[in-house]
Amino acid sequence: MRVSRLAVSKLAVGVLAANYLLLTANFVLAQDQPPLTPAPAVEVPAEELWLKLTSSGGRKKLSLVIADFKSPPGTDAQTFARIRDIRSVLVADLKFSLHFTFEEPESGKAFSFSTDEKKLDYKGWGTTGAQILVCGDLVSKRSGPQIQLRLYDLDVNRLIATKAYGLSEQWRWLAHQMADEVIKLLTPDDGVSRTRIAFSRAVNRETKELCIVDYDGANMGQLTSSGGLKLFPDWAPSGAALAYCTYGSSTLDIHTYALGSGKSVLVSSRTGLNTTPAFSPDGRTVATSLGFEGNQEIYLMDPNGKNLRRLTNNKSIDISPSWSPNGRQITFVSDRTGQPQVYVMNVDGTDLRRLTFEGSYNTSPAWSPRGDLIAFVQRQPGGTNQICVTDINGDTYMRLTSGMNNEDPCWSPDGLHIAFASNRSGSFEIYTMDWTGANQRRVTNVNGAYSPAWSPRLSR
Amino acid sequence: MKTAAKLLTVTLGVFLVLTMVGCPKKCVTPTEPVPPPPPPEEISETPPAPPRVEFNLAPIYFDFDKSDIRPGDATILQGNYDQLKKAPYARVTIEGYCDPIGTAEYNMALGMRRAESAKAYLVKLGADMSMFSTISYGEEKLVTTDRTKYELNRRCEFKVSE
Repeated sequence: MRVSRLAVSKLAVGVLAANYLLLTANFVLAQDQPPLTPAPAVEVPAEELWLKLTSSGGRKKLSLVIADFKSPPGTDAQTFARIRDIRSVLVADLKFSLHFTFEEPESGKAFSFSTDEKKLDYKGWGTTGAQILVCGDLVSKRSGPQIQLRLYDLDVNRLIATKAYGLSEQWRWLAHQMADEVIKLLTPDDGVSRTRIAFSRAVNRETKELCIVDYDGANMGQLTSSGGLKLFPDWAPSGAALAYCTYGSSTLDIHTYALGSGKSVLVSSRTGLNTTPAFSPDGRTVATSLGFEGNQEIYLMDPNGKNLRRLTNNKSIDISPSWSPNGRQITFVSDRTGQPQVYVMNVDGTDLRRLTFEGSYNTSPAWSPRGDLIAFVQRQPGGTNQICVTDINGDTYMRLTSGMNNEDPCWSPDGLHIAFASNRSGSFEIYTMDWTGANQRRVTNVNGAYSPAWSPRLSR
Repeated sequence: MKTAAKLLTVTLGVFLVLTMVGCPKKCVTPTEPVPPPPPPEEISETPPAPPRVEFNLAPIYFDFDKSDIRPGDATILQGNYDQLKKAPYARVTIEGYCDPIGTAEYNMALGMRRAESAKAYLVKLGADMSMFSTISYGEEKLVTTDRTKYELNRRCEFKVSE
């Protein structure tokens, strides 16, 4: 299960150049970021952190070559273009995944090697240096047009797998499905191509609504439209609901929004602030910060707001809980030393320890679904907020962003990517990056997007 | 009496028309319409309502990531208290706010602590704790996005409802 982060970090650098060429209209590469060299934290050189995080050696990355998708003569222009679009999304997903390196045929010969099932040009494709060839063919079936996806092992010259995908209007989802199935087949991991990012969007000065967008910036949609401020969304692990905060008549309340019905249900409206809800990995518990007993403390409650259990007990602010993936620990923010710092405790409130010691303002912790890292926001001496990652012992940490403010980190379900909000373009927008800080990409363009929450893997 | 008034109005109207018609072009027409007669004053037997207390509760401001009451703001709170003393029936909501320098979730809690800090100070001065409720808007309702005036965002506002 444990994948070497050192290997991944090396891959991230290798993939960067290729990704640069492949940016679709949905991606805008960060202008003021040097992604190749994530700014090292003050004390800890990057290499040292990666070494500490990786006890065993890294798994070798498979190298892929992805042929042009073929369609039979006489295919109409629209279908032809659609096939090309599907391939583009598939390639973008696979590059985003960080699981592969990519080879291209030498220029001039580009994709002239045969992909014919009967007489595949293994030798030609072998010259690219890739280990795996990915082919796609449009075929007509009685049920409608299909894309036949085939994977070949170029080391031993044989077909590994083939699968047919019925062409539909949901062609982007289809491409994402292809990518996730390729990743599942070739790696020990599950992909995140079929994930979306929920966020809080400023509609005007008085109003923030919940919105949602594919991880790659496509299919932006608004979920709610009832007015008021909707803040701090968090996904239920089922992918069927979001917890969020909004104001009642005299309190900040927690609601859950059901994506199927579009209905919101009040969960907690205790005196004061009911804020920063966080579903446990099994979805049976919500960690939250409530103020009804005098000041903000961390509590656990059932998803319906009942069965309250208090975890912290002091006169300071305790807020922003985030669960470890095994559900046994919680990281959160407390200013019990006079300044906000990140802490970790067991889910019963025992074994409290401080995680961050550098800097006077560390907030917004987010525990990686892999369990090995915690992302957080650190206020810099220069006055901006930047995203860092630390190992769970707090021994070493590394800053991933620089420039303008970068806040609200959250992890992709595979723990290899971080979504965050940045005001580098003037207004806050949602961005994604690799866990190393590389490949920072803009996801939204809505003039005010905050508090991203990366969905679990969705079935649609 | 009624007829007399009607007659007078008609006469006046005729006179006005005549004068206007007979007037050469340079004559200035009156720009202001004749005001209608004031309605007869109603004589009410009910006593006048008690004089309403006009509140002028001033906001107070804070240092970055702080909720302590600064000496100047203590004076402002004293002024607010002096007004509230005269209106023990008043219900006051203390709203805490932050600037956007920090991060939104923590600022939500910090705004609350500012509101609680202001409340505690007013109670210490002698105000009845039960007249206050507190809420925070964190960094959600900025009064300015001008970096040089961020202090104006780090505030408590006092809203009275009776």
